Amino acid sequence: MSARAGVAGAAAVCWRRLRLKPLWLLVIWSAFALPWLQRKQAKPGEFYPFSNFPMYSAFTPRTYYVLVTDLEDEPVPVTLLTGKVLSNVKKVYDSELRKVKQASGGEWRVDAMPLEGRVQAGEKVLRWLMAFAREDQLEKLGGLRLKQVDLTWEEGRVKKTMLEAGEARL
Amino acid sequence: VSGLREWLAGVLRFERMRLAPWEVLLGRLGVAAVVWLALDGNSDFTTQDHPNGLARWFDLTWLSNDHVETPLRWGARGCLLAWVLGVPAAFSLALPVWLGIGIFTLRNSQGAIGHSYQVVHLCLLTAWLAGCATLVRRWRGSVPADALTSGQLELDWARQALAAGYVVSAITKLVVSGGWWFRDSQFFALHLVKNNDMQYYGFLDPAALRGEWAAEWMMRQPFLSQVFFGLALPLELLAFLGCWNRRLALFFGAGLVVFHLLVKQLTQLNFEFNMLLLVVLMVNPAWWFWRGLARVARGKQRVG
Repeated sequence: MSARAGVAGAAAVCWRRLRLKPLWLLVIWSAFALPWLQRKQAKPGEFYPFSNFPMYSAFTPRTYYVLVTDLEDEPVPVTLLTGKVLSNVKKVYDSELRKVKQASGGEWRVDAMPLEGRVQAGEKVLRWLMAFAREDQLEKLGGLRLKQVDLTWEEGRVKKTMLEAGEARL
Repeated sequence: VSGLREWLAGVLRFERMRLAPWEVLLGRLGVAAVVWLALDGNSDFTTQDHPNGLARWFDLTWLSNDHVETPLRWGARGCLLAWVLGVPAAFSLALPVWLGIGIFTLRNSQGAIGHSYQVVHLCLLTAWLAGCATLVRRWRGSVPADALTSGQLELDWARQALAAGYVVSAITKLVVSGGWWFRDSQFFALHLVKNNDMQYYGFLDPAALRGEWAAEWMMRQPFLSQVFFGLALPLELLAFLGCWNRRLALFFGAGLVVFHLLVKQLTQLNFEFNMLLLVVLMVNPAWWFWRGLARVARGKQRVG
């Protein structure tokens, strides 16, 4: 018997004896196979309903979020205005930043994008967001601005830095 | 020592959970109720600019058309009722599974991928596949004598899908953090600040900042973040043991529910579907209640 046949036989025996086969198939598929097959995509491991559940998988000493303001830089309650939560707005902004990065071939981290790229991505996000906004309220505001707030961990304290990330007018 | 070894062997003994018919009925009812909740709402997506999953190959925007979506949602609800009443899963779950996957694929194709509903449709998909497997086995006449019934198998596979999600999540944490997840969890406070601020700026409601104390407290004591998450990682990684026997299912089910509740308090992220499915498929309170009653009744008989 060849070594290959031996290995195949042993694998077959292991498979027969393996308990919880559906569980392990799902684990191998979602944690390893799918992320590898999608390794060149923006979100490897995501194929609804399969996911490798990447949220909170790495706690870095640096992160950021976004917020929406009016044209006077006063914060706007965006969820009340559009029905969209900011975590989703941030995810859309992330996707747009990645697109800008890909298009420009830039080597910077998406969260350290230069102003020009942030504005480009932010405007797209705001146009997308405004389609869900209550028209009467949006008309009063005349337009929206997106801000990126960088959070860094410095000497046991959180430091916040607000950056411009585009504007869209009606 | 030998007593401890015996106890451990008993706890870790693999016992397939052969649910009683009334447990199958309650289990199906519980899973169907969770899917019903997930079917609430109305999607209004006319584009899929960031296609995910099946949307990479198919245009799913037609699912947002109210003339299509509304009857399909009601049809899926009817199918769920049929499943609870005993219509084979291979037929009754087909519409709820594929409608759910379609609608939420479209939702996740807008640029923001959420992770609240995957667990619902993964459990439903595996329950449907279990129904299909039973049907094929019957058709081929290859059902082993000790095989689980269709209802038992559907809930068994759904439980395995639920546990698999946690194991996958733990593996991803280890892979993405390069194995430094425990060390880096000291920075959790930073992400807590992020969540609180996003919640605040969404509504401009100062109540959203009520969790600030936790962030500040964790900043001063980063070791506590490490302890909290240090306990959570093995709980997720070993979640497959929640399919091993009823005692471990109770332990891991209840442990993960408590973990979700703590995370909800800290981050305001609500994984309600995970918690509901953990209660239905792992904790299974009705069986423990019935067992407790049976013990009390036996004790009374002995005394009598």
